[in-house]
Amino acid sequence: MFAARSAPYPRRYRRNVQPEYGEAPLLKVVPSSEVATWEAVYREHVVPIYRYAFARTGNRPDAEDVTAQVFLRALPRLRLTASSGEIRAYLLTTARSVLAEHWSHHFGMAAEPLDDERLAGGSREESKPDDNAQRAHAVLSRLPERYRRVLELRFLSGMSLKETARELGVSLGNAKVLQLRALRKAAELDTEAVS
Amino acid sequence: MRRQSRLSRAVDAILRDRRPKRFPASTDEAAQLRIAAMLRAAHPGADLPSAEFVDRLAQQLRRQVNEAEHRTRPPLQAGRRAFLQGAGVAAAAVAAGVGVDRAVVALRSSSPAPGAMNIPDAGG
Repeated sequence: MFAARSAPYPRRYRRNVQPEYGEAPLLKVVPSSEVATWEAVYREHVVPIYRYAFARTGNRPDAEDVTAQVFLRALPRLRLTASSGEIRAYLLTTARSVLAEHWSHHFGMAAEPLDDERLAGGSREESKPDDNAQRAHAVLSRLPERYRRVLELRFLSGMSLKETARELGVSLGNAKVLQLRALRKAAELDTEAVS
Repeated sequence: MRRQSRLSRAVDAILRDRRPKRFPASTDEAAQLRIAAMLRAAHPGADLPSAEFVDRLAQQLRRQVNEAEHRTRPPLQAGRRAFLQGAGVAAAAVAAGVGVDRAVVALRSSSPAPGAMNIPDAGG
């Protein structure tokens, strides 16, 4: 048994997503044993897509919504005969689009390219979920000691504001102000790094 | 102050793993929210989906796939049915045609030619 392999996406996506696919041979015979089922595709990619969404929403409910939207939109359009890498690239493109809509809907931001695309010079290169941790640590390492410490305690160690205040030896109010200033400084440093 | 409090509430929501309330964020606020999300995701294990969610979404997708298959099936069945019905009609028509043809032939063979006289059998 053989199945026809065609371009990974319908023509209207190929032009915007991966122009080189248009130059690939349209038909290639592949054994049916190499053709994935939609469920296998889902199981392979759901965790990386969720992690990608979480790193850009920061909370479980939104990350779940975004992940669900990505698969509900992308799966009917996916050609299961495409390679794993091609499918991953298409899912990430869909995720970027869903996240842009999410930010627009929740925070009134224009659907602008997200950070990783700007980092990649708009080339839509694939970013790995593990890049997030590296980037977070890179931002933290550039912060003044006190700012870095408050963000580490709050975000990485998961301490409450009260615990953080106690750890830093400051009042609750001071810990809160310190956290806000530290975030603002981290955002500035990250924006500088990106631009 | 009001700006700071809405941003502060949104950051607190992220730290509690809740969905922040919607508000029109400035560019600076959005940048800080993105940093907060990125840092929260760097917490070990925080960015992994629950098994419940993964299974629930799989079920949802299975329903979608089944519904899509269901939507595309009826026309195919109708086409096949129409084809079979068409073939039946054609077969019936052929059978009827053969029957009519035979009947005509039989009628012709039993009918006298136009203008012929009805002649009794000799000796009859």
